[in-house]
Amino acid sequence: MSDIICHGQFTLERTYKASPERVYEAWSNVSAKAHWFIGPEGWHEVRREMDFRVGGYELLEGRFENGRTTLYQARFHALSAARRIVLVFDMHLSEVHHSTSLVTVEFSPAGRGTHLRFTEHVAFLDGTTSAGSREHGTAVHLDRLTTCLSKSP
Amino acid sequence: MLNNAINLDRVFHALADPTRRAMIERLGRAPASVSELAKPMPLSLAAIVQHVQILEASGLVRTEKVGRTRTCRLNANALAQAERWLEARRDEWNSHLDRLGDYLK
Repeated sequence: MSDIICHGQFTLERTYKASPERVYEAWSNVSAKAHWFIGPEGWHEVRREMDFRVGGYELLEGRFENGRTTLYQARFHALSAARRIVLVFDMHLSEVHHSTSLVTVEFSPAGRGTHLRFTEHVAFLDGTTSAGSREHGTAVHLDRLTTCLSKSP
Repeated sequence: MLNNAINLDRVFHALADPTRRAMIERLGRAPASVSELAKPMPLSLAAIVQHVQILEASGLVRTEKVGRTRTCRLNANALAQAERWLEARRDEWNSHLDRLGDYLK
């Protein structure tokens, strides 16, 4: 059953020693991206494609040892060399449509390096509403949520 | 739509208010009608209704009207799931960005 949609957003920031041009290159070149845009341990790549232009498409398909599959499909919406990338992506997990997200990646010079700001707005689509039962213990749970949400700047 | 979406930013906003936190604690024990929620509070029913609307918009609380009574209940399981997903997604991108840092060295 998938009758609930959960919306969330978060921002991550990093400062790298490389120039904005080089950091942007690592996002825009398919073989450079293959060095760092990969799944966790136990995951291996099945298929990778990227057509890096506005309207272009990116695909990364993978499989875990236990047989679970991942499918990332993105479309680039706005690109500005060494400055920003705007994309929308779908994530399928074992052939179930898990989420759709809007991502912005901003690159700005920081000394000789680059400050990168990554923001994702995500809608999780395969939620279920399981009414009743585990309402106890929610206070503890909400405390954890508050902690989790306050981590994002 | 309000009844069918969890918005984690709105959840954060909803939790920022002591009255609403008290209402959630109350609902953590059992579902309650709006007037039951209002009883222990030094606030007008209209103010309580507003708080309920904010909780409902966040997805934290679901309400259902039967006859003249609106019953509120926590939507804890869906919320727990949303939290786990968002945390997992954030972890994923954190490790991508760390690996990008290693690659750029």
